[in-house]
Parts: sequence; C-alpha cells; structure tokens
Amino acid sequence: MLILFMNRVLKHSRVILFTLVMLSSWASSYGQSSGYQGKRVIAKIDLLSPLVNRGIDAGIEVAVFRRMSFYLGTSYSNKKYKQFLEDYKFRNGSYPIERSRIRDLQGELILKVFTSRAIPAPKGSYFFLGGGVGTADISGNDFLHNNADPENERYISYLNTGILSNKYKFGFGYQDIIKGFIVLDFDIGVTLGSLSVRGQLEDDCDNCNFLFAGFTNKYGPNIYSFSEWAKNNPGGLGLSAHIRIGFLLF
Amino acid sequence: MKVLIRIFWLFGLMLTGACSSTMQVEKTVTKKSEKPIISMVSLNPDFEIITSSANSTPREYKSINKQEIFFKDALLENATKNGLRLKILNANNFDNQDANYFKELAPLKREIMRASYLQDFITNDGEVTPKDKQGIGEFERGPIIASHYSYLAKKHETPYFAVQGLTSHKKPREEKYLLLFAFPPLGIASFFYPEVDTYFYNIVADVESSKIVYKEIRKVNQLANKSNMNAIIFDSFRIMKGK
Repeated sequence: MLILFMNRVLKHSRVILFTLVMLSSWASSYGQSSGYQGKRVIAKIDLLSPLVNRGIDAGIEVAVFRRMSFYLGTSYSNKKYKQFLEDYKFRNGSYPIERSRIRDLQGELILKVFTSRAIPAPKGSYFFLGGGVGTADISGNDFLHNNADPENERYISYLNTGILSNKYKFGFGYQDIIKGFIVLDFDIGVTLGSLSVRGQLEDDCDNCNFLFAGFTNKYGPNIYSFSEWAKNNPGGLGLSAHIRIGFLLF
Repeated sequence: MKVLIRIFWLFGLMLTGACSSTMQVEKTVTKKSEKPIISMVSLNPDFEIITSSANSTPREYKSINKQEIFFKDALLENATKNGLRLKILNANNFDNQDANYFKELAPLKREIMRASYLQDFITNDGEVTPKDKQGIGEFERGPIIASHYSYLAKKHETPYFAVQGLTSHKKPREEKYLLLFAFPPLGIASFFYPEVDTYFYNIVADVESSKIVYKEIRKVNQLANKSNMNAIIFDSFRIMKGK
C-alpha cells in the first residue's frame, strides 16, 4: 500500500514541488506574514487516516498572510464497506460477508482562515474551505437475481477503475505549536464526496440511482455520513475529522 | 437540510466568538533622519495574572513567578531572532540605594505611559484616523514626551526605550448551553476551553526626538503560555522592526 502510494506521489512530484516553491516564495516575500517565530512551512500527517480510512493523509502547510494559510496535501484511502445487497439477503438470509472497497488517491488544496489577527497564522483557531481531486477504484459484488429461474442467479464481482473522485470540505479547527516546532492540528467539518461513475455505466441515464449496494454514500466523510450527496451522484455528505501532527520546518 | 442549518448556525456562533481577538498598532512613518530600531531598553516589563474565578485564590504566586521569568526570556529570545539588541532593566534586581533607576528610568516609564494614554498619534493634518495598512496605523506624528530624558540615549547607547507588559485575566466560566444544544461535541469541548483574556502591550519612545514612535496592544482569548507568548512577542518585534 505504501509503495503504491509513493509511486503515485512520485509521478506528480514535479507539480507538487513547483507548487510548494511558489507558495513558499510568495509567503516569504509577503511582509505581513511573520508565521510562528518566523517559520511558515509545516509538514504534517493525519493520525486518524490509517485508523478510519486505512490510508495516509499528509501534506505541507504554508502561512501566506497574517490570517491565511494553504494546505497542499495528498490523501490515499483504501476503505472497505459493508454491501447492502437486498436480493442477496432475500435469497441467503443475510448480507454478503465480502466487503466492497473504494481505493482512492487525491491531491488536496485547503484554504485556512485564522480567526485571530493578534496571533498570526499558522497558530490558533481557524475556518477551512477546500477540496481534493483524484481517481478511485471501486470493487464490490452484485447479485443478479432471477425469480423465474433461481438456478441462473449469479453473484458476481466487479472492479471499476479510474473513476474521477472529488471531495469538498469546510469546517473549523485549532492548530497549536508545542516546544517551538511540534504542530498539533485538530479539525472537524462537513465533507461532500463525489464519484463520477456516469461514464462507467453501460446505459446513459439522467435519473439513475447510483448507490452501489448502498455503500457509496459513505464515500467522502470519515466519521459519519448523513446521506448520499444527490440522487445522481454516489458520494456521501457527512462529518469528517482530522488529528494531524507535524513539524514546523522553516 | 436540518443538519446543514445546524452547522451553519454553529459557524455563525464561532465567527461571533472569533471577533474577540484584537490587535491595534500605531506607529510613526520612518523618516530618513531617524535611526533604525536595532537596540532598545525595556523598562522593567510588567507581568500580571488576575484570577477572578470564585474557587481560586486571587493570585497564584508560584506560577506567576515561573511565567514571569519566561515572559522576560521570551522578550530577549524573540528580540534576538529579530536582530534586535534588547536590554531589560528589571526593578526586582535593584535596591533602594539604586538611585539611577528611581531618579531616571522610573519617571521615564511613567512619562511614556502617561503620554501614550493622554495623547494620540496624528497625521500632518491633525487627524487621528490612521493610514491603515493591514490593521497597522501609520502616522506622521506620535505623542510627545518631556525632552529632558534625551541624555539617556548616550548613557544607554540607544534612543529607544520601551514599556512592555502582559496581563492575563482568568474569568469565571460561562456556561455555553446554546452551543451544547446546537452542536454537542463543540459544546462539551467549550467546557474545557479556558475563559481568559490576555493583553500584551509594547510602547516605544525615542528620547532623542522626545516622542513615542510605536504603540501596540493585543488581546487574545488564550492563556499566557510559552507558545502564545512567543507567537505574540515575535510578531510584535517584527512589526516594530519594519518601522
């Protein structure tokens, strides 16, 4: 999993490096941003991601203005979901034990606006707004029922690859700096997940219910999903949280 | 939909709460004839923690002593990081026989505080509205102090003398039941969040030109701990050095 993640990151390393250099030079050239004791760049990793997403979420934050910073990161998730196949349950008495899986790699850009002008970014409470874009692979099972001929009913596996995935998120958090270089960042907010599966289906339809066995509405939020985002989009809408730890670099 | 309304309501509450941190900086426009601030004398920095919660004693001397030492260390450390030579004159180190402090510097401190309280920074037109630059007001003229302190510049090898201090007020806890009902996780968290107002001030006078050149006050709703002090003091010196 780590090798796959690193390979994908390396593919985009030039773009990431260029963006970081641009953000850093912008930050250092702008007089209003003093950062924390002159340091403005933080490298950090999310501690919750391996637990709730079976993945990695890491990135770099750059304080560019007195009350504003950008977080540029990448997140990889490999989450398994219970499949609510009603026809399967009707025949077998329970849902299948096999879990579906959404493997997702995204680049993220988040804007943080800090609430206090008296303590400059990147320390203090903040609001954030941002999103991510990437690709996802969905694997799962389907049960093709046939009431007229139960012998020909089939339990199949599928794998949809290269699905365009998006996340949009907003919320609030608090970031503190301990011992001058250790960064602790807690945030909670609303996340909207989106999977562009329309092109993956054989039939083009305008009003389809894209929920794959009732699990894709859990894609996006990492704590709790309230519902699917929309009938024509199989992503979820719900709450996400992060506990990030990092280091103040320079 | 109800969930989204709840969340937006919560955001509104958070935004309202966030407005309580403030920073006000007033400084004079740097003239070519003025010396840059590379060296400064701090006149006995003040440090005070006031606790008005009913269950606590009014003052916790032990912790104050620790924090006060750190405050003075933070002033020195962050001055060095900003390329500023800071000399702290600590009244605790003097005795009654030390006439110099009580004859010269203590009256200067009083003079700076009085002038900054009674007079405004003004523009050439006599206006008190600043040329605002990201919340930092720039003026042509600062408050005037008595001219007979100018000899101190030679004695201490700098014309800049500062009155600096930090006051933290721990208030009785407000029960945020509204937040608790609106968004339980944050409501519960708010019960652990400190109810405190911390003020930092930094007033710098140029005794050669007999005027106050920089005045700043900040208020944050956070504890006067090491991390916050470092952030505030470094930023303050950085803005002051940019003068």
